[in-house]
Amino acid sequence: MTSAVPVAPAGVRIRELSFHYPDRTRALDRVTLSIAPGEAVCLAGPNGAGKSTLLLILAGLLRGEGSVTIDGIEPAVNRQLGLVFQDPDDQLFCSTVEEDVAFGPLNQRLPAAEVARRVGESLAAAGLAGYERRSAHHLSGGEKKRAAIAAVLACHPTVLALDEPWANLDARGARAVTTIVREFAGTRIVTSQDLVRAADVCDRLVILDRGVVVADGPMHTMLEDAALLDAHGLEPGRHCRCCRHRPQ
Amino acid sequence: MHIPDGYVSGPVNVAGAVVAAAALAASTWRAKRETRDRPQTVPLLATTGAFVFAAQMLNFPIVGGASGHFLGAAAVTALLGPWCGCLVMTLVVALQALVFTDGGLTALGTNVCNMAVIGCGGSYIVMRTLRMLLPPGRSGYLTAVALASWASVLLAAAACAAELAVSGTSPLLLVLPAMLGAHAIIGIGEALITTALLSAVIAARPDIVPAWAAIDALPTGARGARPVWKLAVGGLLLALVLAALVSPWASSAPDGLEKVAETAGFSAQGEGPPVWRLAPLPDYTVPGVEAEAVSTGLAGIIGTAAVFGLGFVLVKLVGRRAVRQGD
Amino acid sequence: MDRFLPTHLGRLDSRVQRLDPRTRLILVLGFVIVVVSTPPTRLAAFVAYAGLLSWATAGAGVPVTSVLWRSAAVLPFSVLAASWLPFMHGAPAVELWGGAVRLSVSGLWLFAGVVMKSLLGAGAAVLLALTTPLPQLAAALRKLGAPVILVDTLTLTYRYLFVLVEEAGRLRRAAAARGYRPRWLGQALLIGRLVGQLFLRSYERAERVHGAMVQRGYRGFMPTAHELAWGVSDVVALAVVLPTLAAVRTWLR
Repeated sequence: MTSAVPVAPAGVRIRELSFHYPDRTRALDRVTLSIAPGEAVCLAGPNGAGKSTLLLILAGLLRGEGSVTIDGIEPAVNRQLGLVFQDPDDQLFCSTVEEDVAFGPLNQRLPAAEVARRVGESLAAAGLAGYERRSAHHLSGGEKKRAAIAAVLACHPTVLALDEPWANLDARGARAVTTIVREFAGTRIVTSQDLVRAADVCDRLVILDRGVVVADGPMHTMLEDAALLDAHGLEPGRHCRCCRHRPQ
Repeated sequence: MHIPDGYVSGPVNVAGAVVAAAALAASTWRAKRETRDRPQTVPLLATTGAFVFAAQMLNFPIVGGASGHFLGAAAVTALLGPWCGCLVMTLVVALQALVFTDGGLTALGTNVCNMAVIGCGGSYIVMRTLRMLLPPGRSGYLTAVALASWASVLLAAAACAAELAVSGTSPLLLVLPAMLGAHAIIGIGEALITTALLSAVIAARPDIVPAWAAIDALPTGARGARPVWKLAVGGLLLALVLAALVSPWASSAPDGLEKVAETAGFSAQGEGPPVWRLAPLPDYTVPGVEAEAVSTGLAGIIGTAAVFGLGFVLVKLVGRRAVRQGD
Repeated sequence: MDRFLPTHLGRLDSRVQRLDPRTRLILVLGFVIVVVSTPPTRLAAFVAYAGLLSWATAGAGVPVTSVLWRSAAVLPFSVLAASWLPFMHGAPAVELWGGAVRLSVSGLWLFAGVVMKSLLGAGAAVLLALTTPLPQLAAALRKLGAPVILVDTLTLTYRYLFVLVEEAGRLRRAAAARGYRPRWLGQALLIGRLVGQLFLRSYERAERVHGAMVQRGYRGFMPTAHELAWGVSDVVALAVVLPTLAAVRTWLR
């Protein structure tokens, strides 16, 4: 997995962003957050904290009140941010892996040679070279996840957002996803409950609870604050309990 | 109900294909127009088609070892409207023929005609008619859905029987009562499933249900306000319609074997060459039906009313349980 | 699940599979139309059709037995819909057991006809399904002028078929695990609730899939990378098989 996808990282600025679902439930409440180009951020928090909603807004699939810019531009659907959904079956809607990865570039009306090059490049980045003719249905969970990431990478996003990328994966599959996310040269936003895996990728942790940013700081210092994590339904993970940074 | 190749005659196949193609063209046009209001129409039609296919695999018991399965035409009609519903059912039937070899390729038009065009169109007409007659609110709508889904199965079965009979493959007097008898019971399963499905959807996503369902027009708890006479008129009308449609043949079911002997005697007198004739309605079937139609009509109405009553009681049952679940 | 994964049984590089999917579709349709329109008394023609079908099956590298087994699935329908034909389709009669049972010759022929036709038709459809995965078939339909929205929906339906069939299986198992053993019709109610869950999930999946499509620039149709192209072998296959079928239908008795 050496061939990295070329990318110019972009910064993300979110100011006073609120979002209500049609039934008036509030998902986000005046969220303000800015992410520097090339940064890797983990969004954590209990179920229903608004993490997925935030990613959908960043991807331009939902519209909230407030301002969101990626590289200074409002997120349109979508050239800047590539969102990898939690369930890869939602994202692999074509018959073969190749068609799925080519879907984005073809919609950008790129010439056939460029589409083929991007398919090869993205599949290589996701460690799926040789999977072109396989049908999505016959892939394992980990392979599906990587194929979904490849399909997003082929659109050449400047920000890669992943919603619960390690959920339902075995250790090998999860490690493969970690590697892909680490090698991506752009800005990365990951939502996860698995702080141990997130710590391998992200150097900053933002905790959301009931639509509000409750904490924001460097991953490693925040992992030591057991009281904070516990208050928001998170666990530091086993290795923190036995290592030197054990909270007193 | 999937007719294989070779069972229906050329003219029937051609007629079925023409009707199916026309309905498909119209519903494709309507679906395309719908994509403007509802951009997720294409994936929605697709997952609904996949849903119908998957739901058809959940067999339900009838009696003893026999089992039936969900058809889905009324359900998709209630959820997506007659046009998109017809499109979805057409795709399901086509997939079954092309990929799973369920139903013949030459009979594809005929099968689409029965299960998509008649299944969806018929259930839509019954549903809208009953919706006007029954009181507004959730239970009125669910009653309409239940009866329409029962009728959709029966209509599709009747069409299937008629096509086999017109083609000269099976005598009408035998195949129609057999098909209707079996499907009158399978239809109850269909009605139960469709009603439970719709009440689950109303509980979880009332925004999906079409506006004409008028489920919010009356609070579900306000029982005293319901105009009872409307319900009675609706039920009676439906019973009459079904009786006219079903009873003359359905009531001849018990003595079906006698009929076979009788008609065999008839036809033995003069028959053409033993070839696959593109026969119109074989002449031995019609007289028997006409002679008995009047006398059996009354029995038919009673029988239909009984089924109607049973269906209504079951609907109430489903409704109440679903509400309890929703709470 | 065997029934749901029929493709790839044949060799993907076989002579039949190198044909354009449009050619395969046209050949199969031509075959079934000719078979269905043949009078049942022309036994020789039916033998020729069966021969042609086995030849194509061999050419596709598909085991003949698997085609046979799958097409035999139509036989129950014959018993249901046509088994009375020999008993009531007029004279001349064949008497069995000293006249206890009278069978008509024309009825017997008609019965034989529907059985042969349905088996051959199903055989051709099975061969098509075994050699042509649905995406190829969809590409053929698109190229033959079917509306884009229809072909796209068909392809997507096929894609999510497997996902939803598995979901339905999981729901059913969940019910069985809690002691659901349906015995009478009223218990279809529970199936109804499972079906309701299944629909809600499929509806929400449609919303997510649409989001995923839009996110990658969906503009109302699925773009295609590979175009189909007729080859010499397609022309040869069409030019040989279709006239052969016509000749068999016309002259062989």
